[in-house]
Amino acid sequence: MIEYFFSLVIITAIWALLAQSYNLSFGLTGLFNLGHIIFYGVGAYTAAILNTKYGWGFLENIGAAALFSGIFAAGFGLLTLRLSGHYLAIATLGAAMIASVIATNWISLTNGPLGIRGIDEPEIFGITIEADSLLFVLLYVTVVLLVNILLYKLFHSPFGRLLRAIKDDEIAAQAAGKNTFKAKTWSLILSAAFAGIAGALYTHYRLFLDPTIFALPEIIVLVLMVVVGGRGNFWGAILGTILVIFIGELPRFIGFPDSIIGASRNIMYAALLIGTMFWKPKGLFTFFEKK
Amino acid sequence: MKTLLDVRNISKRFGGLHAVENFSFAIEKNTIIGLIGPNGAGKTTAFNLITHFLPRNEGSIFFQEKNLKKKPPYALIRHGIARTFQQIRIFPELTVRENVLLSLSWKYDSWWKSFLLQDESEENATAYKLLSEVHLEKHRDEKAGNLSYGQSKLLEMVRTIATGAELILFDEPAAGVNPPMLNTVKKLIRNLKAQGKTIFIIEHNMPFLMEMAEEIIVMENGKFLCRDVPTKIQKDIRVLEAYLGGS
Amino acid sequence: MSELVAQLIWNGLVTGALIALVALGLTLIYGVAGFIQFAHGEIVALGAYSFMVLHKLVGWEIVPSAIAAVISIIFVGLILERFFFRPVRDEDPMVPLVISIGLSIGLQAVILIFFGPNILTISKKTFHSLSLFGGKILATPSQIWAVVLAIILMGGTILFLHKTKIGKALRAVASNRDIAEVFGIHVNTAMRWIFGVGAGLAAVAGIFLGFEQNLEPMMGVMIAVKAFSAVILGAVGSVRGAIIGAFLIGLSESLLVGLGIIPSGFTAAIPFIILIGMLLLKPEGLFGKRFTALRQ
Repeated sequence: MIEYFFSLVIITAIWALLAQSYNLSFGLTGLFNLGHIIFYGVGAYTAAILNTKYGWGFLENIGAAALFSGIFAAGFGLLTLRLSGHYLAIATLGAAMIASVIATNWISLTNGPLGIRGIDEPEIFGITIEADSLLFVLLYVTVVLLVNILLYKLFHSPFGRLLRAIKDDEIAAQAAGKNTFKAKTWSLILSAAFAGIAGALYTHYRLFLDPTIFALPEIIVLVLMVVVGGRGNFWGAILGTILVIFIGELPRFIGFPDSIIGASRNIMYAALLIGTMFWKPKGLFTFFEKK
Repeated sequence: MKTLLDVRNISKRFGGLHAVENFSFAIEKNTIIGLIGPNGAGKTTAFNLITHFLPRNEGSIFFQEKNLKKKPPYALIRHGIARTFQQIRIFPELTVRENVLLSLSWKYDSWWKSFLLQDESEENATAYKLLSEVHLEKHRDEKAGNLSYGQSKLLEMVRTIATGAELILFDEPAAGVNPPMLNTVKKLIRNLKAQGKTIFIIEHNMPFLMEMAEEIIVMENGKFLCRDVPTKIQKDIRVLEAYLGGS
Repeated sequence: MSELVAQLIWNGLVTGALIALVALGLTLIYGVAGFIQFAHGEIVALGAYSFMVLHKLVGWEIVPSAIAAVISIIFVGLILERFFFRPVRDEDPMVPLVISIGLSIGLQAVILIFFGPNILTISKKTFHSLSLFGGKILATPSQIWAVVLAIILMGGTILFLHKTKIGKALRAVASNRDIAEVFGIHVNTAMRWIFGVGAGLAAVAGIFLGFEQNLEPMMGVMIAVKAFSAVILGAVGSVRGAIIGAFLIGLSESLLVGLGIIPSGFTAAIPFIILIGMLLLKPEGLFGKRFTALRQ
């Protein structure tokens, strides 16, 4: 039972980081990028490949995943950020599907649909930390907390203000003398780097990685967490993550038969998403926002 | 007097329509110039061309004797040309103070600087001073979206001034503004003039322009019609005909 | 070789016709309501399932089952408009879009609960041999009907938009929502028409799709995603653009994979490779200026 609880905390921590990283580009900057999951996947594959092929450890992999996802996002941003609104949404959704196809077919690198096995558990100062142990929980919560502190500072910095201004009115931001394309690209790069860290955390927790990491349901859960909490609201993304994961576990708690657990979870997600849009379209946790 | 802005033969076509055609004029430093013309004469298009929010088909623009070529709009602001919009553009989800801070501080536009050092006390003081000039200092921590129409207009003007630009283009600063606020607008513009700035104004409110502008340029059908001091413009038969849809 | 090419062209045309029916509804909804309806694929799936229920479980003939299925799905479209999209019509376009994402996963789950994860089929395929495109090809009756009916429906939609009063009004609403009243049409009426027509076209696509592949709750996702690409490929809101985009995707998918130019593992990526390539070359879509809605 305690292991189940620990696993839930670890999953929540990883998703909280991923959701917060998405909140930076989608929520704060207003980039309707439906391909954010790519950066998570790139981070996860970076860690998995570096670990299994070159023996890189947990901490190096976090750095490498952030760096590689960030560089990837720079290219991605140069290609897509000239687009706006729905064009950006569909092009990036398409990019996520392309990523999934590449991960499935580039067998020599990713081992295709069979996935990568034999990933090492995190090792810090020579101590191996086992999954679902208290130490593992502490490690992951600490990493996620540290990265979230960085993100909090970024959200509330003058750069964060610039990103919010771009979301409000990009033309006005240009009229205020801001290079909005550069700011949007940096927002995407940073957001991707943090998603890459979340991906590395996922890899070193699950110890197995396959192309389903790029799947559509993952994208929808991510949108759900940020939108329910409140786009661009720092605390909203964290509370949104906790709420979504809690609701996702409910069917199992209630004791629904296995055959409909997935479906009933999706119905609850749908109700949460639609209910939020009707009741508080700016997110359920908008009361944490400064006036 | 020294020429600040020199616009030479600019043209803009939308499909087959000539919105601005072969339009030339120059503006001297530290003057207040008005731009008038009937609806659809191409005034706002001219503003968009000068500030590069629209690319021009032909012509060139010199500012402080430098050819502006194809610089993006944000870069022009760093050179010293700033503008307001006919349809007010402020940041409704940002506070009033943040709206002004945004154009005041360049130094934190890159995220790492923004991340490491965040002392904005100087900018905050400047923002407070600017907001007091238009009586918005009491609203500084409210969301800009909550301001009234007139207040939003003043905020947009202040945000534009805060860029520190030498040449400021106001698109209809007096439209829809009540008399007490109109006085604030006038004071704001006179202060700018006193500080050595150059102001270029599109306006339909003739009494306002008669009072403020030193010279008025008239446009008709995308073309230059005439240019003179306000009292002469008022009596010019060509201007009257343009407004009556004649010629 | 030419036999193969002819067959591939035919397969591409069938896929393209089905994508076009879905894309037509999407582009109309985008043009008038201003957002991409993510649950449009689930309307396709509902069309296939309701036809299957009437035809196989209730035992009706094909034609009455199809007509009844299309009519009931039109009602589904009207219900979605009335209860999910109308209340948020004046919000930021992100709001109806997010609601449609919610509807998409919700409807999939509902289908899953009703029909279970078992794969269902409508009928076994029977092929006819035809001579087309300079070679002998195999085509099922439903494929032939799909192509013929799709062309009729596309032509009908275009005529409807250009020749009828309500169609002209819809085009006016698409270019400016406030102008609707001037044309003597209420915005609510316009929305009902758009969602009704869109759902009807999607239901037709769903019924034919059910003859082509197995029925499963997520069957609408891939065709919807291809239709999104088609809509954007042809410039959002453009009817002609969406149709041409759909056939472009259907044909290139079939030919590129069938001729071995692209390995079959990459099939799912083809619409997006075309789409992203095109967006980089011509960001405003194949047909037109960006942000101009519903031009034919």
